[in-house]
Amino acid sequence: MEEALEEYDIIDSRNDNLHHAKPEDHTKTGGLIQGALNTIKKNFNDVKNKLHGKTTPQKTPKVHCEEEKVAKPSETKKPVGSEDSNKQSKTKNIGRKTLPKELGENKYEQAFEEDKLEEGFEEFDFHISLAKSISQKLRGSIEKKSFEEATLSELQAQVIEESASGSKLPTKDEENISDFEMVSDIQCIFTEADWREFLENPPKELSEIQERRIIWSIKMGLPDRRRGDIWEYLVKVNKYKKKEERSYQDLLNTKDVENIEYTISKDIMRTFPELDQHKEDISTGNNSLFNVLKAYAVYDPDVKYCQGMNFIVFLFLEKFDSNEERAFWLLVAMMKHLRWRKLYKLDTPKLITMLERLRKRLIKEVPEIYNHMVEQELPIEGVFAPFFLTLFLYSTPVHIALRIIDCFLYKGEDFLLELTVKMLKLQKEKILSFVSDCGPCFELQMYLSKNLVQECCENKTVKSILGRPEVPEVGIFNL
Amino acid sequence: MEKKKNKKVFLKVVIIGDSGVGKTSLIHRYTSTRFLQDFKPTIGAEFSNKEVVINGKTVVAQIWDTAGQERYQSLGISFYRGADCCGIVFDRSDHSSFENLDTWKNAFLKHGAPKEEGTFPFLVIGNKSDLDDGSLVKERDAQQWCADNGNLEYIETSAKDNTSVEEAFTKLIEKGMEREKVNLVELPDRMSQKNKTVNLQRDVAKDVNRKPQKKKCC
Repeated sequence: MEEALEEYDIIDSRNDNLHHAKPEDHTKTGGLIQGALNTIKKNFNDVKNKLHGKTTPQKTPKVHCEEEKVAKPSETKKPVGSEDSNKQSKTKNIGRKTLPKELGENKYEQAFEEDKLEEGFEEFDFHISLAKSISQKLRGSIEKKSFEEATLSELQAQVIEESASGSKLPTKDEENISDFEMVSDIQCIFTEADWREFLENPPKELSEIQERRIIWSIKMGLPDRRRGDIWEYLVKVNKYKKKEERSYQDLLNTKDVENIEYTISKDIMRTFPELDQHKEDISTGNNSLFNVLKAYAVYDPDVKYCQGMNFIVFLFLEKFDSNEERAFWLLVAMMKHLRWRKLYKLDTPKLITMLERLRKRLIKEVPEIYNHMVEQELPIEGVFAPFFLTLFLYSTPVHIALRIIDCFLYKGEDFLLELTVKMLKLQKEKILSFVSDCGPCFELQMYLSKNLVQECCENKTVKSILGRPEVPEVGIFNL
Repeated sequence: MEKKKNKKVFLKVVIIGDSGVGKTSLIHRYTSTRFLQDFKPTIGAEFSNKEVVINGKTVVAQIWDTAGQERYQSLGISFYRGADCCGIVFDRSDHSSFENLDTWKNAFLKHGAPKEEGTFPFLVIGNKSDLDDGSLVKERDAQQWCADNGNLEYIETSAKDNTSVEEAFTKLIEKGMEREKVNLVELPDRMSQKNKTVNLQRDVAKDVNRKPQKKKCC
């Protein structure tokens, strides 16, 4: 198993090559998004017709979550010729793929077959485009209610209002589109109560619809009070905790080796320096941030401590009311389940692979931006390494980073890469407008490292990549 | 662009050294003349610009602040390349950071691969001199190390008290300018490399190692 893990990055980059070897992939994705948009279009009109008492030739709309129905948005756009069957099977796989035996188990092994990864991206695009249009519809109308509280009828009413008032919704559509998949998806988002119930006794095998509900819930934003619990579930904390014989206390009480305590101690005061939490004197033994990092350094001698981890642990502690043990095991599970420890290991092999993948994608997909960064003498390592090493906590407002971490814990590193590329594409014009005629462009550096993420993910911007209008967080992270 | 009488010289200054020795504080003190208590550890690398007049010449110093943790040295290649001078900082109250000067110097020479390995302008900076409780790294020891490592120059600073910070950077920039002068004579065609289009058909690895070109602004 360990060997398989070690090979992961090799497969990783190989796969990356495969991904970029086929220029037609992107047109496929475009077709799928178009299909999704057509579906949305159809759905809006269906709702509208229904409310106006018109009958549709289709079967009764099914909005129940238990309905084990898979969205097949691309069916409306079947490609011709030999690709047809391939495309069809892919479409079916969207449903199947999201049904691993255990959520995330073997996810990567599967995903690293070329087709699977491609599907992942297609699915991601599909959800993002849906989420975008939904969030645009909903913004304003339910701002005082949390998304979870919004009822279906409210959503429908809103949708109808939008569509009836001659909004930008397209009016023409095709006949045979499956009904209500989008509306049912909205309804299927787990409420806080749903999560509580689900996490009390999580099923060993997720049904298709459960899987879809989880994906949707993550895309649309998790309830903050359940976040810690959900994170633990997503990265299978129990599994990794069971495997370890040593207890947290054992690890914590292990004598300092190789001066690691000193290394960690240098960063304690410098982790979210603007906040008061976890700044206690280390010698008292009460500094939770220090304790968790120290225990991890003992637990994983290949990684020990690496800068960046401190920001993540700080956040975990906040989500668990400073419960060190829970923060520690979540860290362990994240590192193992997502193979994230290779990012921090000596020589940072995964960081190098990820930056290389990012570079290749930029060259392939947005060469203007890549060229611009080269011309402005900004190495992508300097700008983007903190994104990955701190899971965007380094210079992104925490309420946004939280949403990114939600998705990351479910989807893994591919999500971070995808997000980064998407953000750069989205703000291409702006990025290209930063020009320095003398040396590297300071403003471009500041924009990329500090403002880009906020602009792309903040609820108030028109083009929110993350979809859901953010409900303001309460507590210390309300920065 | 408006033409100015004095031509600006453009210099790349790289600051390296162990985590927590005060690299960011020194740079911040120099570029914004303030000392901030609350710094995050530097992850990745950031640069800031400072325009100064040295010996009658206007110099734009592009000062690179780098991550101090050793394992991030694997990323160093992209930050060190094209440097005109390098400041190696240690914390005088932390003897291990002094002992690591060797490692830093070698890493810089390895990843930055400057042409004149033996004579590349380094400045060794002993920071946190304000913390004098008798246990600081002694000036004599630091001078000895510098003498043993190619007669490097040494300066003691305190970013907190603003002791000798400006002096240190001025020295660094002067050293960089001297080197630039030599290189300009040696490499006259360097200045003509204005055309900086990137050929995407080129091997990616070449782009990675692409050395930022020196240029003069007018």
